[in-house]
Amino acid sequence: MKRTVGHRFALTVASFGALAAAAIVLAPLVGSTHISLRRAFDPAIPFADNVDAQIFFVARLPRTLAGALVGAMLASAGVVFQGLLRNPLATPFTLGVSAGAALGAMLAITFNWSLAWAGIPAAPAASFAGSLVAVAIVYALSRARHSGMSTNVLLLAGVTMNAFFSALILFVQYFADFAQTYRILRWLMGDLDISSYEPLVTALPLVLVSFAVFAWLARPLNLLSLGPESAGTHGLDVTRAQRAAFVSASIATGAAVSVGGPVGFIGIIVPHLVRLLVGSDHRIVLPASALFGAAFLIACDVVARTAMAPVELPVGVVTAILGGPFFLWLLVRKR
Amino acid sequence: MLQAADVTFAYRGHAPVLRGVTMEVPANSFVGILGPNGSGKTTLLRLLAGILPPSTGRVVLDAVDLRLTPRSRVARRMAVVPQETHLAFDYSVSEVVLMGRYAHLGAFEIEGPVDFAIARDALAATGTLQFEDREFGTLSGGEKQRVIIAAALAQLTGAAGEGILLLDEPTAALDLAYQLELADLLRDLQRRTPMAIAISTHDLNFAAGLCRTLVLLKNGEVLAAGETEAVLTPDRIRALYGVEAEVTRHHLTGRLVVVPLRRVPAESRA
Repeated sequence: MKRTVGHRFALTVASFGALAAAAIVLAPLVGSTHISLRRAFDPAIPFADNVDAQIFFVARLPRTLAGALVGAMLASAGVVFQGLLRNPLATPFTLGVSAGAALGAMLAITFNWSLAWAGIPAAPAASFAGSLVAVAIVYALSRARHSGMSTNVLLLAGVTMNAFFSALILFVQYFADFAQTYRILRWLMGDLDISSYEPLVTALPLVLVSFAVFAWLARPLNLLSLGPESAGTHGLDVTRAQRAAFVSASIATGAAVSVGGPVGFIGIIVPHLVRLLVGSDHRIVLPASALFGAAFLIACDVVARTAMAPVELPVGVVTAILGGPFFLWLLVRKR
Repeated sequence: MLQAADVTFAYRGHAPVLRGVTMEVPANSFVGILGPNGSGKTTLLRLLAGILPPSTGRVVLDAVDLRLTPRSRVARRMAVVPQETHLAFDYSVSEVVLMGRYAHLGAFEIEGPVDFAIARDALAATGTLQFEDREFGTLSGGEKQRVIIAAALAQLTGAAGEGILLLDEPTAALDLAYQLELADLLRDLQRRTPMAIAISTHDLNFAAGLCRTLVLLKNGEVLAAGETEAVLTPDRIRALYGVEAEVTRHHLTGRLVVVPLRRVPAESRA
């Protein structure tokens, strides 16, 4: 028994936190117009005259922070789903929960045209509702086979749910006009192109609620690795922990999707890399995945913005190109 | 202290697995729940552990219905060693044993020096201290079981009252050497710390050599219960398994031994 959990937690938060902070500060510097970090933060120049600061804080920082928020939420929701279903291939995306959330957000967007399409308060709420419906189906499936989910069931359920929600999304899209359809299509690929802080502020309460529940869930998720029955005989109220995990992971997915669309594969790439680095204790894995997820998605977005400049790709294209092969590799490698 | 009172259990939409079972696990006892496959012994153990609720009747821990006792309090008194443990993720052996401390800590509390000391003692008591930094998944079946027993000991340490250790088919996946090792370990643990141990098993000789009292289950009902020597007779073995057997005391070990002789044709079974 080497370091205590307290030490490891502090070490993890410090190192992964530094990584995330560096990503947040450096990513806004990358773009078509070169800006200087020193000028942007120079207090001697009034903000109205400081073009660098304007580009940094108004044009680029919201998008970077959106990447941080979406990456953190999707990565930690992935950890929670994996712990809950006792399967390392479970993620919001592969389970179809992201698609459910996207459908919810689409409904809110399509039928509330009087409001701006991003940042309307209805979108996060509907997105959360959509993910909750998807999660309820997954929950019912996992209860029906009460010792967790085999990889086969999980993948089939995910494929079915994704196909089902995608069909409904297409159906809803039928009611949108051309201009909206284009924006919706980009958003469905997973796009962080937001132009104000408003969607972030709107999603913030959901973010805080789900992180609070995640903090409580860390030890229950460790016990659930033993199986639900053993977790129960260790003193855990299993049903309560499972419900808390399902609801909080849907809130997190809903919040993330309402901001950035259903960005794929973050929930699987990040937790796997993190576990390789820090082990499996969820008290370490959860904060590390949130912080690394933030840094990772920001980095992917930088690639998306610059790879084919001046064209800006949706970030979901980048994560899918990385994540698809990664997922297949895990599937082959799995015992 | 732990009792099943007229317990019946049926899985939803199925015939009852247990019918009117009354038995007890007294303080500092060593109880074997014995019966052929499908007799309901594992189900009875799961009811005693509080994993399943009885359909009718009650399971009572210290005169309180198990269903009315908070889970964490139950966990501090009673630990369960399942047949097999597969972890969903890689944890080290010491992490697995520290999970045994869950019921002793607050919602956001981190294991302290006391918990680490308890975990090390438990590892030492089960002869697994050398594995503490190994990945649990890399251990053999017998080693895993001893680590899970260590976790159970860590769970029972510091409880108000004597601990209860339940083991479900502990020999099912073990070869002969590990079976002997397990029997020695359990005897040794009970000698060191008074605790009640109950095991479910279909291994007659393992139970005969280890358990002081037996509960024989047949088709979900108690065929006989009491002291091992009184309960384990050739008649009962015939009734239970349809096998003619001799029950003797072994001349070297002094323990009860069951020697199966031949199958009894179905029509002549009593």
